[in-house]
Amino acid sequence: MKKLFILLTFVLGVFVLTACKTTTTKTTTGNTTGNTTGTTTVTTTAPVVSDGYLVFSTLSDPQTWDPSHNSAADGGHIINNMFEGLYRATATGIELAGATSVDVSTDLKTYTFHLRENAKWSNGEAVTAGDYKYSWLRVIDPVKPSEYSFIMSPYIVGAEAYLKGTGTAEQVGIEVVNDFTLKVTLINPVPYFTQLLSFYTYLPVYSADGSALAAGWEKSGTVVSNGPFKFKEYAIGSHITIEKNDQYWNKADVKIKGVRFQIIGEETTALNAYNQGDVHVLDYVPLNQITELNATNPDFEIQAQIGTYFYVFNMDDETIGTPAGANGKKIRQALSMAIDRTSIVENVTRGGQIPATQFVPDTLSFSDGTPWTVDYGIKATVQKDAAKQLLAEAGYSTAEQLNNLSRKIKLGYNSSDGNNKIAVALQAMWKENLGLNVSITQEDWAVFQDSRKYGDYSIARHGWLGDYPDPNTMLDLFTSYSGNNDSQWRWENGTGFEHDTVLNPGNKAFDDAIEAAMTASGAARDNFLKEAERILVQEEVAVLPIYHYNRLQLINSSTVDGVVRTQMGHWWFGDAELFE
Amino acid sequence: MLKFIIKRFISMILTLLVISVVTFFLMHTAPGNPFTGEKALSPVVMAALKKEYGLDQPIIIQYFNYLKGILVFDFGISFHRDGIPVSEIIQKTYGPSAIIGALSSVFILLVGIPIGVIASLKHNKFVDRMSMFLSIIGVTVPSFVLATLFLYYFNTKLGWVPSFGVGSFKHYIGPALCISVFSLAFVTRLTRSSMLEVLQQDYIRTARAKGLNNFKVLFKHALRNALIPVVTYVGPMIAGLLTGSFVVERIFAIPGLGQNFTVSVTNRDYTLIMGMTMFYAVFLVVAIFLVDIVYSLIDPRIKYES
Repeated sequence: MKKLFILLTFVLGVFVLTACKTTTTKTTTGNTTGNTTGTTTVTTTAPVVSDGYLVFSTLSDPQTWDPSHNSAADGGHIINNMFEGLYRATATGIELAGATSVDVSTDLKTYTFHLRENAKWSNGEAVTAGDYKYSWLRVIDPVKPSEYSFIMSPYIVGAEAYLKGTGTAEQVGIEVVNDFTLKVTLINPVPYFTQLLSFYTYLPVYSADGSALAAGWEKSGTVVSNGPFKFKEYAIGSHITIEKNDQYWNKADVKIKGVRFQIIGEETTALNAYNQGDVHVLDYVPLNQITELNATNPDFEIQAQIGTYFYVFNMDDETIGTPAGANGKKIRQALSMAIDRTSIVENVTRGGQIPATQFVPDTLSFSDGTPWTVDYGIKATVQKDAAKQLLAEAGYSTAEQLNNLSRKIKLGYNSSDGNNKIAVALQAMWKENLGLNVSITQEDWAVFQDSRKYGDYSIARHGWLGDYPDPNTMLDLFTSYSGNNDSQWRWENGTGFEHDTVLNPGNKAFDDAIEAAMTASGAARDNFLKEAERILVQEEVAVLPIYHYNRLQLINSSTVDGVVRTQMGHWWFGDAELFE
Repeated sequence: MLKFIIKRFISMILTLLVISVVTFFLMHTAPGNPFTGEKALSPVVMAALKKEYGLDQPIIIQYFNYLKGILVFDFGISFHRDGIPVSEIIQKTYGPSAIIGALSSVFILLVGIPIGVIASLKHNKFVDRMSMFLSIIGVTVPSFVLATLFLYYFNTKLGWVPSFGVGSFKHYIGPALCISVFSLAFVTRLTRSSMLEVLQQDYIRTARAKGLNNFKVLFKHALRNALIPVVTYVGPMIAGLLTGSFVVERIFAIPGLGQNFTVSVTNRDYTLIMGMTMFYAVFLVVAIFLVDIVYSLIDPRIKYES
């Protein structure tokens, strides 16, 4: 025992010695790695205290927060607070922001926006119609187009042609009438056009010096913005800080000094930091904590989101696709009926999701405002007998026949804890309810994308989050010309889809319904969209809806107030207040 | 010695060149590309992006362009952080990783070697058994478990250390300890077994027979020889520690280098993959080179003149 004591004292002694040594180590590191590292260490190691700044935790370094080129939610949160468009998204819809009024022509194709004359950039200059035109052309620039150009080019006159290099910028229907009047001409009436205007792709950037907008401009100290906050600092891997913009037209309402987007990649660490008061707002938590948080923390909230987690069937598959005719459809129906969606959300995902019995989530609504709820005969629970019956009708009832079928079905998904659990659950349900032994394969995301795109599967995991609050954001995924239509369900194979040589005539009616909806309005439009969804999920059974996504949030109500999350899920801190 | 150094330097350059070729071509053969996002890009946008980043050219040309860049220390722009050069990412995230790596290296050497020596001297006694038991735990318990436990006890329960990030000395204790444990246990075991072997040697008996005191026998004759295998391990170990750990940095939310290794691969961020691989490779070959030099200092029989 005495020896152990001596040993422990020794270890302790060495530890103290190391502690003393560290000061020297630290300085040496700074010196030997050169000046740059030395100074960086200073900036990145600012102590984590909020000092008037609201701290919001984010998973990783955003790729960009350039409004025209952003394509991800994390960049979207920063943009929503640094920039301001003609409209601003609110918790329930949108409101005028950069514009004070709008005149819409009777054919609903021409919008004339009257801009707010006291709106200024952070350098004091006025925000003009020219800035908007410049920024929007930047999105559809044929040389360096935005990944999100698809949210603009199909709607505005001449935009698609300019993007593809067959038209000119002058032919695009964006007209600067005067400094504060902007006229936009659309190809067809777009009921959700004003919703799109609040989306980051349509937000303006400062145009006076175009050459300053080289890649990465938004991350430097020279970035000019027009929202309630302006850029302050970016420390790679650590945080992005934005501070109050004194030139903002409504600066009187901005009560906090700024926002610090703190990068914390590990959910457990982020939740712990939140519990310690080091983070004020958090929108991701470890999955295994959801049940407990829901029961014990009143600040924890689960909200329905506009999006669906689903599987796509390979419609070109010889066994389960349209080449197998009516039998293929029966197999697809049987597979869909044999899964227990309620059990998946209650026992597998356990995040309070809603089982999906349709493709469009009911967080979206019909033109009269009622929730989008339609019965296509898909049930949340298992219909075992009916499923077995359908499979038997398709010619698979004996053990040998079922084994044959099992061998031909290949289910694929991209590796993630959640996807894995769901795939295993589906496999078990099909085994128990249908006697099928389906093989499942997981792939790395980048690899899986190609497998899914080129149809190297029978059933593949898919998921979609809407970009604007209209059913079209979900449905136009399955048009024959959609780059995301990975079910191989196409009646013709245009440019980019040369690999899809097996054509599915059933997709024509879907395309037609979507196209008819483009020129219709009100209840007539609703009916076209509903018809499209019916063809997708009921008549052709191209998808297997599992559940509708939801989102989580923790807002520390004892230290922060006035934090808003928009309908599409972006955070707004312009009205936030901190009390400490 | 000079000749040896020049020879080694040339072979180091060759090694790095081979590493760069293998990584570059393997990376490009991996399925997927940097632009595979949640939403598929239209062919027009994809073509424009590929052109912008030079991915539309033949792979051989791409490789030579890359090599040309390296010669002027231009490692390209990251594909997944618009406009940020890879060299800047490495430069700015290197600091925290180096501090943690240096702290843990010092800790491992100052604790591991003495414990190993003591254990070998008290062979099969309680202290020996105890330290070997602890070192087995150290080798087997993964660092993410230790890191999570550390945060739970010292932050959540006791509030002694901050919840995440870098800044003060307190921020570094957890990451440095957790990153150390595996190598600490390994170094201890290595020192012990190597010492045990050396202590059996004839020349130790001779030294004792000459009447040298115990201290001189142990430290001048035994330890010096026993350290050779330890030095072999410690060289690459320090290179590894100084370039950061993905797991530990992630759990403690350290803005360090380690995260870039894994993230760059899943993102297919070609330029960052290359930058990180080359950065680590340089560390490694230099560490191995230094190990060779240290050999000759410890063991007079090893000479590089010939």
